[in-house]
Amino acid sequence: MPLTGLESYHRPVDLQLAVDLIRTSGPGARLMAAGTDLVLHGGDEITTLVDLSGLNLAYVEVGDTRIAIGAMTTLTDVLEHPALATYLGGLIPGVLRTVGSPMLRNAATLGGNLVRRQPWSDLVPLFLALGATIRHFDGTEHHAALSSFYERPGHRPDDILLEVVVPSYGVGVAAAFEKFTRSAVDIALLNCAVWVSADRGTCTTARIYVGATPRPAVDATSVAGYLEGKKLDQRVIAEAARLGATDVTTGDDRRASATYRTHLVEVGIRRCLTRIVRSLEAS
Amino acid sequence: MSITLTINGQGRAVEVAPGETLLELLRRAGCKSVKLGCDTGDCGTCAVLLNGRAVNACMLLAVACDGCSVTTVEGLEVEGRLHDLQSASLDSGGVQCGFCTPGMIMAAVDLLSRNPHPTDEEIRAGLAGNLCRCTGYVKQIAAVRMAHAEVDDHD
Amino acid sequence: MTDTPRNVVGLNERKVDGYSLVTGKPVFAGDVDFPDCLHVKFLYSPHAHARITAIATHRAEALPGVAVVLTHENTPLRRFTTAGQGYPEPSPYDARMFDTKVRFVGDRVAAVAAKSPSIAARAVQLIDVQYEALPAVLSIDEAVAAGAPVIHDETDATGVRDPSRNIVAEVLVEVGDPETGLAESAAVVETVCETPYAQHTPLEPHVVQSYLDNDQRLVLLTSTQVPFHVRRIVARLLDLPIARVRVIKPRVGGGFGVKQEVLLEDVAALVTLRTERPVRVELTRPEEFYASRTRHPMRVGVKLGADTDGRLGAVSMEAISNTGAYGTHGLTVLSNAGSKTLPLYNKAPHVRFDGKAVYTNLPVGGAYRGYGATQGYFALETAMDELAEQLGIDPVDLRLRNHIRAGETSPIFEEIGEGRKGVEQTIGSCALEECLRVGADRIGWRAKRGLRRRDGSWAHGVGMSIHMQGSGIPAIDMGAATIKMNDDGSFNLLVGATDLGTGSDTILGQIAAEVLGVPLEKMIVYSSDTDMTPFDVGAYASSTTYVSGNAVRRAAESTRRQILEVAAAMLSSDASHLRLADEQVIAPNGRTVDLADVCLRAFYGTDQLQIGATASYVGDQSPPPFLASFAEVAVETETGRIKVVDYVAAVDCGVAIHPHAAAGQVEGAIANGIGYALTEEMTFSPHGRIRNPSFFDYKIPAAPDLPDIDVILVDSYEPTGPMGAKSIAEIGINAPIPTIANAVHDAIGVRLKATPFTPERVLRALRVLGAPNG
Ligand SMILES: Cc1cc2nc3c(=O)[nH]c(=O)nc-3n(C[C@H](O)[C@H](O)[C@H](O)COP(=O)(O)OP(=O)(O)OC[C@H]3O[C@@H](n4cnc5c(N)ncnc54)[C@H](O)[C@@H]3O)c2cc1C
Ligand code: FES
Ligand code: FES
Repeated sequence: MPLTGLESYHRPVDLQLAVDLIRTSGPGARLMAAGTDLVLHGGDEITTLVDLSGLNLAYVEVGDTRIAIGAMTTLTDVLEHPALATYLGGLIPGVLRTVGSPMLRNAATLGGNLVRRQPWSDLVPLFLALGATIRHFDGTEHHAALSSFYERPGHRPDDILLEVVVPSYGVGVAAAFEKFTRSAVDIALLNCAVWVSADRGTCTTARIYVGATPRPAVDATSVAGYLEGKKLDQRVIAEAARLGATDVTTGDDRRASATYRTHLVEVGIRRCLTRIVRSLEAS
Repeated sequence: MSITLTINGQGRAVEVAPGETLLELLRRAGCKSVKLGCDTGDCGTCAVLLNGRAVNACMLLAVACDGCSVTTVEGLEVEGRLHDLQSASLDSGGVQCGFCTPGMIMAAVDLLSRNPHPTDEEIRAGLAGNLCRCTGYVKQIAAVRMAHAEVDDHD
Repeated sequence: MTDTPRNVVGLNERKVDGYSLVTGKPVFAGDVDFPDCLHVKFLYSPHAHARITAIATHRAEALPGVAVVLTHENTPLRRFTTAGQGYPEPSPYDARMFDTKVRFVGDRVAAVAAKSPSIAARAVQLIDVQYEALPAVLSIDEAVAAGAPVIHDETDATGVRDPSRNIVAEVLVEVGDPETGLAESAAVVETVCETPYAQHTPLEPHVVQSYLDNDQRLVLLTSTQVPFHVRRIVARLLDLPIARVRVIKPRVGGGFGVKQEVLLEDVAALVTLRTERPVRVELTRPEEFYASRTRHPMRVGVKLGADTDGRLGAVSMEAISNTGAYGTHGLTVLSNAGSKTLPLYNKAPHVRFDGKAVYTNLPVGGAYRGYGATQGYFALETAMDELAEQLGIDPVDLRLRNHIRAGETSPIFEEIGEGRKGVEQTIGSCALEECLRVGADRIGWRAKRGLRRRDGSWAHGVGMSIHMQGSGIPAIDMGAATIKMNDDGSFNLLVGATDLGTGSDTILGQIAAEVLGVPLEKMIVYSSDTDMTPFDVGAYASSTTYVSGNAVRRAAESTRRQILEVAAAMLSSDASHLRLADEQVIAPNGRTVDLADVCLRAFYGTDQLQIGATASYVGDQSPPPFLASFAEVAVETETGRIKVVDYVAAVDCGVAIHPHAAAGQVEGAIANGIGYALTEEMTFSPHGRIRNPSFFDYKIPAAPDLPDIDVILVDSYEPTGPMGAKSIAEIGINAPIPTIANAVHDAIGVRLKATPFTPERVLRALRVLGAPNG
């Protein structure tokens, strides 16, 4: 039963204090955002929760070259922010509309989703493909690429994600996301996020992440490598999709078989690239 | 632990156990409209407004709601007058067993507060987190449609 | 169709319990807090099949806060059935409160009552059980295989057809000579369809609270469809006089059949009797999946023989049903797969039904809306579509040539009953032709059929099917109602009928109000409480409107007669000349007397009496409602995903007493059926453990998953029904599976024969994906 071992709860108003609380409260101490995941899945080993809601980390800040989103911003507030409605054709709100239900999104935070990194998270592959960077704090503040944050051997309980930053992109850049589910409100059977920068129809760089394989999102580097320098026509798109299906390892679980997932990798990459080409042509 | 929160407009100081959910707290406080249909955030029978937004009370820790304002369906009727969504639910035939009804109404209150003129598709998306096994949603969607028409009439 | 003007019947009145529901009043069984209450948690079997060789409870009992631990060592050992059916139940007595053998993962091993749920849960972990694992039977095929492990090897079970072969029940009915009939047919089709384990998932999980009242009587406040059966079964099981037990059914948060079962009341009752404390037992959502009841999975084969014009000559159905570890509703659900489907095509002279229900070491089947007909119709209506295809006849026309009409009968009515012979009956009302016509028009049948229209990656198609059900179990289901008049001209209506969200309190109130010439507000409806209300079998088999409704009509008519008698004296007139309308009794000369005054006189004037009556009703018929179902689907051929884009259900339920409630029943049933068609399936590990016991993984439709289901109530009048009404509650759930399957065939040319029609299955049928591994 979740959180039956909980003894204390803190809502510090100071970052350092939050880190100190975690460090001094023993192995059962955890940071908490909205707590939706912790309440459902947190084990009875959790004795202390340090709530991050007093740290003013709920904001969306729009700069000239970037948009910064505080880790404690709810998914709804991200979804409804006007600046994001125009960012890459409204890609982020479009994805968020498929995350859980409106009520979940009213509570769950961007930071909670990204740090929890459920294998089927939709936001992990999305923000990875967008080339997001982050600020985090473990006594000192660090800047890092989101991807390098995930490459570390394990998340330290005293490391606070402060904000997620996505760069502004000009013409010649487009991105797309595809999620396959069993029903309207469902986690992904498979998802994929594709980001492409192109010069007159020829791909210069690409990032492709495939999630819910059912393992956590992976970087489909061979597909990205293949696309670089290629003119994005139907044949190239089809080949990239096929390559994805070959190179991305999928597995069975109670939601879908590996065979079906592999089929979806192909469909997903093809659809994303097709949509990307369309929006590149339109811009 | 002791927290204070406003439940349906009334300030209350309550003792909570550390691991207690908002759902458990509210039912203990007498708000029996808040139903436990799944305890995993999937059904919406526990939906309440937290600082004006619909959330699943089963997924939130009660202590973390210290200082917040909570509205449940018990708080919608004002001076003997039902909320438009309550009357519309009755008049549209959207209530069958009624177990999902309080949560459904709270989700709809949130929806209409942000989008007073939702299309049918937006209503469906707005109620996506509220499962109902009795109705097929037809008359519940009609209720939201009816309620926003009434809101227009009041304007 | 009837020319009597109606004042209450036929109107969309606000539900009599609506106010309390929309304001969130504590009206459900779990909403009351009893002081000093004990909470129960269960220990479930981790094995699909095992013998308990030892069980030690002392560690659990020693935990502070624990009041009682129940196991097979300290509870009654008498075998019974949990099925809440009429006495004697047609289900085998093969279960015990707690047994020495466990027969599925989730079978009850022990129960702990403690002062909090968490203490009870901790204590459950402290019970030490030693099992001797036995080989398990995890499918229909394994159950009937030669040398299969015997699941019910006990000697004291009764009512099991052949325990040594895991056979719970067999039904074999032959009319005419089906074999020759098929051999001589110009066209023959044969199809086999399969449906899996599925769960009802009422949003309110099972909950019961029990306590002793001031007279030491046992009170059970429970979320049940069958309060009177609960009282009888619990009293017999625990050796209590029925007089010592009171069962109260408050508002129920949905049932759909899963609450037609005594699952928790026995344990609550026993703990209360042993401790003299209030007890609360409730299931969690996961328990609801594995430890309550499910739909019986079935494999149903249908053979149809017809002439070149599509006139059916022979219909043969073979059904094999998986009843799980216990045989609750095993025989009757199986029977209904035939009895509720085959009469629909009554013109065929040769008919056969051959059914078997078998035990497996999987969760227990039970009553579930549709009750076998859902499974039977999948095969029957798929076969009809195949026949239409083979003969080049429009599927609607094929149905029109063959379906039953008013004034006709079917030998199946008499041949297959519920645990005994059925009852002969002639159809009194059938508007199926009209249903077919309006349904086909509304969906655009002729314009859309056979087009293979594509819209991007989506292929569109339309499909249809037709259905009938029943209105209660004839000659078995009994309902009763009591009406008593009050001195303001209001009435108490006390019914044993069990409103579980269906709106039956409102509908029964409308029937009484109509007869008594008063608005619905004057009826104070109360259901159901075994101390207060007369007997009723409960809410199942689509019986309430018809059976209980007729009882209410009778009670109201008798009350009406008494009112007129009293008024006759007041108006110095003859009762036979008086009318009742607008809360008044009206004499031919225009003089009137208010109902309130009639009752005042009856209470305080001369010839004092309580105006009121109790009446009962048992149907000698079970008039079927009819339904013509049409859907347009879109199939995404790249991913295999099916979207239902339009759904039309044209129904004949006789006169709709409350049109919103009637349509609402169909909308909800169709929605549930769409879920069963597309996503719903309980899946199991190789050891028989359920893999998806949550709404996170067992996907029931949410609002965005469904089209705007369009229910058309077609004009009809059932002569034997109350105010012309028939039932409506179940029929809708049978329709979506065959309708969608047939529409998918129209869209992409493949036949789907196993539900749910998941994207993977669609792609496999299209041969985009190969066969599954293993
Ligand atoms: C029913 C349901 C459906 C869902 N569907 C989807 C879906 O379709 N797609 C999808 O992507 N997700 C889905 N989710 C996941 C959801 O989006 C959230 O990610 C999740 O619930 C956690 O958010 P939270 O803010 O409540 O995090 P919490 O529960 O508070 O925290 C989660 C974890 O992250 C840590 N943490 C949180 N914030 C920080 C921080 N700032 N710094 C460091 N550590 C931190 C916590 O210590 C904890 O370990 C679903 C969840 C549910 C319950
Ligand atoms: S009980 Fe909270 S979502 Fe189901
Ligand atoms: S009305 Fe019963 S669950 Fe919605």
